[in-house]
Amino acid sequence: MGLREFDYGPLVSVERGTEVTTRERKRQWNELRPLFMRTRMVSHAAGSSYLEAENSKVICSVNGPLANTGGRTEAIERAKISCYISRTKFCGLEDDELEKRATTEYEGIVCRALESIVRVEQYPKSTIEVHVLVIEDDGSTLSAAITCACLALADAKIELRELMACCSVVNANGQLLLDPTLDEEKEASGSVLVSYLATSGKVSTVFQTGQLAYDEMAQAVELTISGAREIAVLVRNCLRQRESKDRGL
Amino acid sequence: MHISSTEVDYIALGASSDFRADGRHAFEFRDVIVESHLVPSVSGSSRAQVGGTDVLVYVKAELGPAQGKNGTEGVITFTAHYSSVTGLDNEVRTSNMLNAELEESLNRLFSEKQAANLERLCLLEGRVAWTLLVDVTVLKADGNVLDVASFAVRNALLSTLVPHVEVIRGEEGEADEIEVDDEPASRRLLLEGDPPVFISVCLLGSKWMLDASQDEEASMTSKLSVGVNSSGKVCGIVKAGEGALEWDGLGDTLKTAANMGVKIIEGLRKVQASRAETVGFFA
Amino acid sequence: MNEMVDVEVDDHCTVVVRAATRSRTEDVDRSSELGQMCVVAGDQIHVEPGFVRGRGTLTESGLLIATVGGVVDRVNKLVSVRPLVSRYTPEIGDVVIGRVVEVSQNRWKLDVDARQEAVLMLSAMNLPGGAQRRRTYEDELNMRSLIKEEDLISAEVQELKQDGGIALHTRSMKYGRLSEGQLVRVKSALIKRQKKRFQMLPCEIHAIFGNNGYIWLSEEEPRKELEEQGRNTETPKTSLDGRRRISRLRNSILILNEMSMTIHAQTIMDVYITSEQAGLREFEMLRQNVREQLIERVRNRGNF
Repeated sequence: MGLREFDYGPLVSVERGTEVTTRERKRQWNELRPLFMRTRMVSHAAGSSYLEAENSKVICSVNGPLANTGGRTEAIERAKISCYISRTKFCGLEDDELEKRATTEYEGIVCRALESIVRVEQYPKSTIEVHVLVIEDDGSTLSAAITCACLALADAKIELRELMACCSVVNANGQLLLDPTLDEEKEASGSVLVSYLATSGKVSTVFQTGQLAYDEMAQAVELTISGAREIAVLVRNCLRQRESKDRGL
Repeated sequence: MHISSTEVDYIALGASSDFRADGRHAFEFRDVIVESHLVPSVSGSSRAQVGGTDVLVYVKAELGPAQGKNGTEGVITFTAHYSSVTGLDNEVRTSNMLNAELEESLNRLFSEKQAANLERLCLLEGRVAWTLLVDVTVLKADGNVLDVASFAVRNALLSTLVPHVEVIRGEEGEADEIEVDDEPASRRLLLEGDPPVFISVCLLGSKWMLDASQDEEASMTSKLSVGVNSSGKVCGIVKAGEGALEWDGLGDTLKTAANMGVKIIEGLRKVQASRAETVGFFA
Repeated sequence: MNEMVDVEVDDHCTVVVRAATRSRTEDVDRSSELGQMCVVAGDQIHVEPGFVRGRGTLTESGLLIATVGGVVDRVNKLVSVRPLVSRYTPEIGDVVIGRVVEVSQNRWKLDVDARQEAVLMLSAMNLPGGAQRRRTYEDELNMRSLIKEEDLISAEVQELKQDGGIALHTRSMKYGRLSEGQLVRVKSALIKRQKKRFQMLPCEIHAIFGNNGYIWLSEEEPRKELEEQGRNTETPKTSLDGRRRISRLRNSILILNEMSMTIHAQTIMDVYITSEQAGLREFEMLRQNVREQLIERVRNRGNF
């Protein structure tokens, strides 16, 4: 997982074995990594979920709707969604990478994405807390976090307008790559993230970084949506399985 | 933690009658359920559950600069966090405090020379040694988190696999080199030592008890966490709680704690040796 | 190995360490659910024209869409989605047990594990010295002497505000501050709405079944004499035998909760009696394999 260099002696670098990436194992530019999803990971939270795309692993838990405590003077007719993202120490990101992924900004993106599907008007004067823990980061974790959060909200039986799946694409060395790994993200000159609403087919979040030519952008968004559509099917199946399991069917 | 004064009284009286809320005696431990090798992509991992307390530990082993006075030691560092799913009071300050306490206690336990032989982690004197990053995640808290975390830490460390590393002696004038074998099959266990565990005793009213539940911890006045290794030696004591305690009679309690530590370590050892099938997240 | 061989080891200094095992699928009281239609959020529900939209759904362009995962309920023209597990939703007349989170001028705020906090006004609370008199300024100052932060109270849901707020009142002397007993928390959905919330179970322990999933067990009947409202009066302490029975009940309730089975006097006593007959200690009941066997045995008695 990268080089470590020391400042002394002729032995300058120790290189850990680089694992063959799936792209080298012939994953197509427009192919998703195999996905694993599960809900009800943690029984204590109102709802929880786990999502794994090979070496990217994310857990999400949802608490709420919770009563708003502490003297609020404004009348709040809708629920407030609060999102917290944390990472394990060894999740795979070096310090400079961590800085680039400003957590507060990401938390805001997740919040806004979720606001498009949660029926906040059903829960006045409440807060819905969404906690995301990135266990391992091998790319596309922001989109994984959003998909995972949707699963956890559904698991918490919070009313949703529809289900949402999120996916991202990068432009690395002139080639568009769907569901990028960490290395691919590092090499990328631009990226696009899109969250897709399963029933209406609409798009609720677009997050673009770096530089993309206009037609590249259009192509990238289309590619992302196609990926998100596939993920949306998996999200629905995961929830259906849980419903059946709960009822012993 | 939320508990009323009358509930505290009820618990304290139960303690003095040696009958706790779930029917346990003072020195009875809840069942300890462990498993290792949960996540293949990290060097080592383990999960321990006691009652409703659930702790996950991951170990990542990396090669880093040798530490210590003579550059002859490796490093073990701990990061802990209470994942927000525990259902505890969600104030950031409280959880930061809890994280810090857990980290400090574990760091202290493993900083003692006897507890972890850091010299065995050194590969090239003065230059290269193993650095172990241990991440402790508390999934659920139902009392006695420190003890449970220490069980998982012990298990994770003892099941940590690292690539085979060969030291190639340099020719005259040249320094030694290290060659890392990338073959996954050649990975071997890193530690064969004797990591200690914590056994905590809580004072409820005037009675000491082992393995406090969440309500009992909310009612206790003092808590002593004793580091114990497999020979029953005490490797460190940490005190928590606002109350003062009488030293008389404490000796017996500490001996019992040490004894319990030995039993639990023995149990953990047996479970690891039995190579039980990993259940993990997908159960 | 052990340097402490000369120590008197307490007989009860025991522990069991074992490897994780796959637990059996969470069993659910599913008798009434089989064959019904499950949906997840976002699914379209087939409806006849003239339908009436119920809970857990929304209409969009004339279509009915589910907003939660659950079972589709059709009662006459009312179509709704009922999720299996949901947060406690209060109804007027429910009995709840709550924990005080705030004491302010003339009210207590309680956490009843619902979407919002519940409020008990001083004027809605029964007071010492007679049930009906005007609340004085002194009463307001003395609120904490009656009930303070972290205390547990039993009360009844009097009113549900439009914004979801819950107003409580203590209608008679059997409600009020709880002391000298054990609280057990379970999933609120498992407590069926029944007439008698205050019951004495056959093992002579009193139980209050809060609809919000909080259950209070005590040896003494939770009833306050008029003079006893003050904090300084002596409540008789629970006997050791009482503690044993309470502990066994608590564990029985927790087992039912873990297995997602409905919780009421009959199911609790079934587990309780079976565990006694099996000669199990209170603590032993909670072991995973024992738990599963207990439920198996209870089922075989034909009560489920």
